[in-house]
Amino acid sequence: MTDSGKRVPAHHSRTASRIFSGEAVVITPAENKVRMLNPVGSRIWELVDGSRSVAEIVVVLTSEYDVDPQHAQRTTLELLDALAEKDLIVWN
Amino acid sequence: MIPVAPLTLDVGGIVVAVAAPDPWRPRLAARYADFLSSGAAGWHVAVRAGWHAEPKRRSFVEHGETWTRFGYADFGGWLDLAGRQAIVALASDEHLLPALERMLVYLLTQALPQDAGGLLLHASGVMRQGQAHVFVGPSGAGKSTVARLASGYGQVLCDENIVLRLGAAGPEAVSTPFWGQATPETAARLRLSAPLSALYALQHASTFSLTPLTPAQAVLVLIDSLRIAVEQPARASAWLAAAKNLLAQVPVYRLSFRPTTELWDFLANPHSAQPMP
Repeated sequence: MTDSGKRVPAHHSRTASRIFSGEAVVITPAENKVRMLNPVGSRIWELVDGSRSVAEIVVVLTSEYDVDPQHAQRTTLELLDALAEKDLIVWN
Repeated sequence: MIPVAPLTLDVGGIVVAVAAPDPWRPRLAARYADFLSSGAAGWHVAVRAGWHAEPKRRSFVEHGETWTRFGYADFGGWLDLAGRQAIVALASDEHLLPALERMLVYLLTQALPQDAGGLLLHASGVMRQGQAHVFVGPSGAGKSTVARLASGYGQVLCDENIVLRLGAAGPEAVSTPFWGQATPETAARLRLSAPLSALYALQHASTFSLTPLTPAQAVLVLIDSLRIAVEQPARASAWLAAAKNLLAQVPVYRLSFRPTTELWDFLANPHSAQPMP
């Protein structure tokens, strides 16, 4: 696992979210935006809790999906970086 | 001077004491007769004269972490969510009812999720055979139309705002006194509630059809109908928590409909609907 696997994401304090039957609804009041994430994105959002590292999230994903760890980490980091760009998560 | 006791209203289980000058009390008491309560008020609203709109900001709604304030040409208000109190000021007597109702809608929208796990929806509701059908959608989607179509087919709970909450027997729809302007002659303003049969997101069409929505899709529809509920992260979180509890127990559909009373037969037996020739 690379150094990027040690990074720990957390939901940004400006968001509010819930998981509805496996689909994450994320509200950012400051932008007046409501987003619905796809199933994999929703699962990653659910696993982001401010204490799990990317590597730990990837371990969970590889146990739940038929995916190799490298691909899972790449996908997870791409999504988390995109979420960070939108100020939906922060890196602890 | 003898202090005047406020009128106490119960809307959807939120009990609000409304203090107003003596001359306005009869109008308020008449308007909200069926919603008067002897319960202990958890919120206090004072209504007074003396609103002067800011010339450069005639219309605004602003939200802080613990407050909402709004202003229009004829009235304005301040809602202190932490202190559970509000003030509404009017430019003249004729704006008493719209001003107070605007404040009460803002108050209930934000108080219901936190205090009672409920939601105030921009929706119409119709009670048929003891079950409530609730119709949501943006302006023009057909909420008032559906309420008009209920004449002779059911009891309209309200044509503009409905409370959803968890009752002892499950989700229920509760009437509010906040009716729309479309059909003032039909506004009953009765305090009613019924077990919730389903929520419908309205869509005009030439035929009738029902498409199930996932809970997340349903949330998007409900939020779009009343964005003020989610203007701050803490309030958005409370709103989502209440929505999650309610939507886990309520079917939600996209309802395509044409504005005829066939609607009620269709909802009673949606699988028998025939496409238009």
